[in-house]
Amino acid sequence: MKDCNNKIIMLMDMDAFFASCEQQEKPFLRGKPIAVGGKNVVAACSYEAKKYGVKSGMSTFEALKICPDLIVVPGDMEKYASTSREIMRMLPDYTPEIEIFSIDEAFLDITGTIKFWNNDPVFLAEHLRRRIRKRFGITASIGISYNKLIAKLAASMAKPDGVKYIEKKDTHEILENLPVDELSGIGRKLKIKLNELGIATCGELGKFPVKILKRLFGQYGMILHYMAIGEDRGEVKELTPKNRSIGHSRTIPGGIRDYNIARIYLLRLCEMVGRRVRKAGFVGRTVTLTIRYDDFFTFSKQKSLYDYIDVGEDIYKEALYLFNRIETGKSIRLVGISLSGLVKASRQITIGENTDNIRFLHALDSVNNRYGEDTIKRASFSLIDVPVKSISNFEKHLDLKL
Amino acid sequence: MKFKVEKDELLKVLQKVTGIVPQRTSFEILTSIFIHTLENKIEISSTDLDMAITSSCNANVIQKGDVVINARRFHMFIKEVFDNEIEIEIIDKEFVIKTSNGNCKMPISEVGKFPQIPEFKKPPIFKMESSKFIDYIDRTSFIVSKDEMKPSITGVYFYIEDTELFIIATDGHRLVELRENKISPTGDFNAIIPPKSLNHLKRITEESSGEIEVYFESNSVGFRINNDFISSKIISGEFPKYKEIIPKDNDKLVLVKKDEFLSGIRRSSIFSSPSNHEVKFIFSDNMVNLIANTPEIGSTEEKIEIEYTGETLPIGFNAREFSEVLQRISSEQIILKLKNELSAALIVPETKSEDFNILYIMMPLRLE
Repeated sequence: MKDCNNKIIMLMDMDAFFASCEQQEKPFLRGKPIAVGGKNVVAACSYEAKKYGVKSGMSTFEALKICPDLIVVPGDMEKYASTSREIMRMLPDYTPEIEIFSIDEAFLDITGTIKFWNNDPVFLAEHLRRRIRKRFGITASIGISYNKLIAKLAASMAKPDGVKYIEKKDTHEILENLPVDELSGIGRKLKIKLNELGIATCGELGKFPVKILKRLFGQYGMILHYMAIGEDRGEVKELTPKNRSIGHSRTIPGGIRDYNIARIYLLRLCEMVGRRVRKAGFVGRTVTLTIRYDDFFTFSKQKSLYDYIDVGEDIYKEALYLFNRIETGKSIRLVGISLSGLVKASRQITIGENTDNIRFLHALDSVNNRYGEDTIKRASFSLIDVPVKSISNFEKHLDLKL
Repeated sequence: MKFKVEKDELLKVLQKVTGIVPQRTSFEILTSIFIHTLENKIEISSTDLDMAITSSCNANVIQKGDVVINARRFHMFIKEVFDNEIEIEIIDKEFVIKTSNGNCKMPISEVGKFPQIPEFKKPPIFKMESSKFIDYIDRTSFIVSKDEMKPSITGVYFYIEDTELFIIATDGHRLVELRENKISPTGDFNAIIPPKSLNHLKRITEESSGEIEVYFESNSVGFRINNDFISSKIISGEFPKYKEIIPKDNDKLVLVKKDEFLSGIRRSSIFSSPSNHEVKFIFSDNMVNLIANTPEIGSTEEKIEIEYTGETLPIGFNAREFSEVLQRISSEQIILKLKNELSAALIVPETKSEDFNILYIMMPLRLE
């Protein structure tokens, strides 16, 4: 196995990215508490709003209650995506090993290039931050460490508008008393679960018997152990279509026992995945279903197909095959679907396939491209009408430039 | 058991039967061959449980008997023998090969452990010139699905309706239907045959001429040609009802010279995406444009003369699969029957063969 724990890894994370983009574009929003989102939910908020306790994922109603001055702006994904693309285009000046992790985060493996920067990672980080600020007027925070996990932790400590370098020798001390939920990958619910086991800090999690963690959390238990001692097996890898997957997951508030409703969630996710896959011009042939139960036991099941697919219904057919084979009865809190084995190609139409369906889907895609996601959607989705965690689920504004 | 046999005769038989002996198997006995003696003849059989081959040659049988021995070593040894005639005998439960250079001894396995080779009691369903039968396999068996989730289309489907033999194969996006009505069947025939068995049949039949007899009983088929007999399991399941999907209302007719078209498609294919070999065909008045474009590989655009009048139709195909189909059509010109960019294209030879009718269906790629 490659040594992933003796490198110099940087995580560049834009500060309150969506809100910053809005504030940069509309100066009257600067310095004010703003939230980007829709009628129902806050997708992102500015640091000014965070001070009041506003958080992303909160309902807009709740956010306005704790921060009556909050300005809610509709999101504009196209704008954020294009800004993001431009920022990401600067990164190859620092290293070829880049992993764009999300719209506002990227890992950089600078192990090989640091010698050109006085062997000083902080110098390099500051250079990049200055460029971003000068060009876009927005700030980024950068965490640096010996692996991805700790770099991510460092970035969260650096926020806002800072750089934090955690060296390997200092890790033990930092982790010892660090609350578990400070680590990326441990959320609120999992924290509660760990607290019930008497684990509050990473130090305690690291010393907890691995066997028990594995029994409680499946394979994720092992990962939790390594995370707590500051080890991460993840490499910084460029997302080429081959190792790339397109997926969506959804945490179901309060968990769900009705598997028929869970199947609607599944269909919803599959159609979202199909839509993104088609939009990107890919076809794929491995479907992965991820399920997390209420007790945080998480697992994935995969099915590889002979033919490449890109239609939500076809993805759903395979996802359902996998879903119908899982243990029933347990309350599910997260469902995820992804399609991998992607290639950039046109899909082969199969014998007997209904061409009306292809035309229908094409028409649907055109409408949704023009007027925004979900302008037309399945009626059954109204049963699960809670915002899906996805960058494409902002309130729609019909563009009437007809 | 004791017999004398000509080396070349024996070698020919061994070459045929050892072809299906599995290299690795959890059933040790399958790495063996079964030798059975008759009057002035020996018969050697092998099987991998999916299919079995029995081949025979003349021999001077001195004492009758059966024996099971390792296939690969026996074959390799015989290949290296210089003598024209070889004497074989079982002495003290050992298989002894006597040559002018000395003797070779091999242990023998229990005859009873060798799997039963299927026997066909009924007369053959039909007979046909073997070269013709092999030709039909060539034109059809290259289109089978490798998708194990759809077993019924992983084989070539043979059936008889009245006095007509149908050979059908599909891989999910191509289909071939071959019909021949010059046979006189003696009974029902309805079997999905694995391509592996057909390929072996082709291999051992290629050098022989004469008639092939086709046998069919419950779940296996058998083929006899001269001194060789191949039997094969058939794939269970029902072949999809394919007749409904043969397009009947494709009204855009294209007539094109096969060789020109084929080489154009092959040239374009070089610059098509390695994942789906996508080439865009734009049919317009008496012209088809072939366009392939893959950023990191290169691009090509060329025109080929055709006979066609009608509205312009852009349609995408997997060029490699398209050329596989074209090269199996013997006619000088071919007819393409098209409907629209999403529907099946029908490909037929312009001049029909005297022996058979054939049609191919190709589904397009969905162009953006």
